[in-house]
Amino acid sequence: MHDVYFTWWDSLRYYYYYFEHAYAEYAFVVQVSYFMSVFSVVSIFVMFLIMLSIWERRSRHKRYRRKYAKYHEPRFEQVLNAPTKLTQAECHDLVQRRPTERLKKWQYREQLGLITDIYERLRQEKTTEEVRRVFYCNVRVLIAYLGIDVYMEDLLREGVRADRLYIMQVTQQFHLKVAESTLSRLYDCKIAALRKTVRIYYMWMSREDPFRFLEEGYDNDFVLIDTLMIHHVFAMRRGAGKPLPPLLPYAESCTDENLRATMICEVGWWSSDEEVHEVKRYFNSSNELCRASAFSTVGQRRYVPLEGELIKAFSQQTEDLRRVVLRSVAAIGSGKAIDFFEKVACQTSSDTTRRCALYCLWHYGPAGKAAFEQLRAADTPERQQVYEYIQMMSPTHAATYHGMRMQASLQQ
Amino acid sequence: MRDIIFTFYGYAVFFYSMALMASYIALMWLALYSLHKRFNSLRNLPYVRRLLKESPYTPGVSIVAPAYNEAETVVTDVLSFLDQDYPCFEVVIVNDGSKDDTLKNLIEHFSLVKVPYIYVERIVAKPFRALYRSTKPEYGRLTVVDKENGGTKADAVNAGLNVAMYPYFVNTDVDCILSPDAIYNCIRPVLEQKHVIAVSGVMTMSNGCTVHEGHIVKRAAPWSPLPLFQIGEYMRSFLLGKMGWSAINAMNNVSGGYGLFDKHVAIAAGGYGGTSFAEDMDMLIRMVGYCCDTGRPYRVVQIADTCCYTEGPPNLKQIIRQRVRWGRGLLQTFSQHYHMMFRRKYRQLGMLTLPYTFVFELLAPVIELVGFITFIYLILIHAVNWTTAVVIFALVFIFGLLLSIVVILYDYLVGGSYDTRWSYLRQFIASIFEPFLYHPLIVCCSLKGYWNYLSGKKAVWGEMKRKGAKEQK
Repeated sequence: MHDVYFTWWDSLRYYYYYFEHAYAEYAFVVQVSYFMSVFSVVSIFVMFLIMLSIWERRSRHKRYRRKYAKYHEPRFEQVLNAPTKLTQAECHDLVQRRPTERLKKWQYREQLGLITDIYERLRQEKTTEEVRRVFYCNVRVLIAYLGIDVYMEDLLREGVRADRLYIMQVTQQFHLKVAESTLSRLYDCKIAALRKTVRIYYMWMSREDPFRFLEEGYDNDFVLIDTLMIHHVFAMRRGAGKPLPPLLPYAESCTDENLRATMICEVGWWSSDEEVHEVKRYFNSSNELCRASAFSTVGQRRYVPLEGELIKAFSQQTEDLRRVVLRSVAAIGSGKAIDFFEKVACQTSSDTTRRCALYCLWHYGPAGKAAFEQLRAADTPERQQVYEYIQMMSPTHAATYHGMRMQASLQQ
Repeated sequence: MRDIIFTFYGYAVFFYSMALMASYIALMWLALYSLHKRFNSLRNLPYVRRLLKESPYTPGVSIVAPAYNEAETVVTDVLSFLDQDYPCFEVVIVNDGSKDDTLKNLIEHFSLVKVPYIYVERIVAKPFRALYRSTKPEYGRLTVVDKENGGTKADAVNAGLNVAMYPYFVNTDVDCILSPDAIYNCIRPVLEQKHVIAVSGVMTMSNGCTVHEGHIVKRAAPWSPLPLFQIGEYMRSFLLGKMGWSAINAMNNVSGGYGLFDKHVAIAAGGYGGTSFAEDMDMLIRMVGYCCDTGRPYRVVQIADTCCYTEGPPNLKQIIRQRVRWGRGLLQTFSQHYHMMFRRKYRQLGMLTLPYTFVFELLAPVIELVGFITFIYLILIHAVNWTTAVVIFALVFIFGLLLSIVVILYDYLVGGSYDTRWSYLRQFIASIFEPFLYHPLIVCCSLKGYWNYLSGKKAVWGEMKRKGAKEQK
């Protein structure tokens, strides 16, 4: 006969009621404190469990990555270092992947992580031409061979926000192609970062109407990373021989001043001389950032026909912008602006601008150096330090100095 | 009458404690939200790194680090600064009138020469003496400023800012070892968000870590209890407090150990308060104040990545001196910025963070002291209800432990302070003893700092003896 009067469930209930009613007779303060203590203990227990599970998962992933890398890393390197474009069969000969059942998502992720690391390491050792001609193709072959492309599309369709963003960035990194049907759902995604990344990708890949999202603007979400990505995608298009549109119309139509300034700067990098010439309309812009961008663009492009306009615009600018003009005129390097630099160095009320003018003069070829020495000879002994400083600036520092000023003028 | 007073006092302290606990729980969730956002941001790091490397728009960053009598560690630490994996940065070391061989060591190791320099004092600092640059191209990013001792770190940083070239600067200490991607991690919020004026990176102790040529090669918890307690405190401060406030753009402090700032805003706000002993908090409050006064939008962000390893004070004497200084600095900062409290103009800072800091940080040591004295008195008159006392004590202790575990978990999640699990276990064990051994010490130091400030005692920054980190053979 097995009469059980007190089961485990009863024990559980007994202790539950015991804990629930302990201190029931005590004051409010004690009851609240007791409740909070029990809450804390339970939370600590849960935290421990969470931590253990994360520990276990991470260790498992790390072990897998280590084992996988040990076997596959040299093989992947062989594929990526191959001097010619490989076919799937050649890729198979090199990698010799063991036939396995369908992998789990995290295993694909680890594989993709490994390929990303190898890719970035090897890419630095290659010339641009090699990267363009072979490297990208072999990465694509490898990814398709391992079945990671399917995983990536799955994730783009059904993954969480972070995963989708990650996949879009990998896609751009490897120059992979993604099905239009997958992407079309993301062009108007509510998540700004993802939406912008997908649109940038569209600019790179689409043949239909690549810049239509640039026309629509950036909905006031424009941030610095977008500037970097736009420049990168323009560089990729130019590298791949794909045409770029005239950029000034986009600068005209957008409402965000930062985007407009970016577009003006990009004109200097990629547009025709005719379009660079049109930049002069921003010399009188009411927005300081646009003016700075326009001046820098002319300097960056070394566009001689606008040198006179730059010099003419000099006197109407703030001191910061005057220095941008000085540096742009120096960058153009026509050899005709020595008088301008001398005049600024002698007449300006700002020591910083004067220093900048002298710096430009010193780096303006032999004639500039001679003019610099003349000014130095005529100047007072107390101010000799400025000349000495400019002459002693190390080439590294001078380059940094110049680069920094360009940036500062654009970013502030 | 006495009973009424004690009952009222008891309830006041009880509700104060409950409010504090509730705020911690809220901060836990807010911090988790911030971490979640961080995981959702730029995930593919090699891609973003390449963008930064290849772009002409990459924002430049100046690392400004004051050095006062740091001859022992200055060379190693400057090497770690110079080895940043970031395409566009410079290092500005400010020799703040050191009396030891700090400058000599720098000159010898980095082949520095004095260069003529037009020093424009955009922010007031003690007189500038000379500027040095290296003759070796590999140290071309290094600039050393020699100036007269100003007595505070703030004064030295101001001098560094007058020389710094880039639009952003990192304020750090020369005894800190930066992780190679410290700038890169801090610049990410600037890339991803608009109007970021300051970014705070997580800081931890290098005690217990192994260093090789200015780099941390092995991250482990120290065996000594004092640095362990401090690491726990840092974890709570960064991963719970700052991370939580950052979620609602209400941070009131970016650590002086490692923080990235918008130079334009910092200078417009008047630079660092030259006499301040909590220059980090003072600076941020003034920057936020400036933005609010001029109607400029702003964001202050705490990131979860460990950017900086500092050598903690190795002995009790130096910890006490450091904490007394911090206590003094906190009161000094409040005395300068109390007018911002409860003013809507100063947004989250004025309406939330400053009142919170005042009630739960500035007043906390005073309330703890009063509580302790009251408890002793109640014991003496046999008026303690011991059951109640034990339950309340258990609550305080267990809740403290919960906080420590949460931050250890967060730290582990973000791949933070240590490489091994045993180090985390050691950290957890330390958090059990911390409330009994370390916390009372900190309370006393804060009170002494308050007293020193109120009594007008002359304050000195003081010299910190460094052991130097353990070098890998």
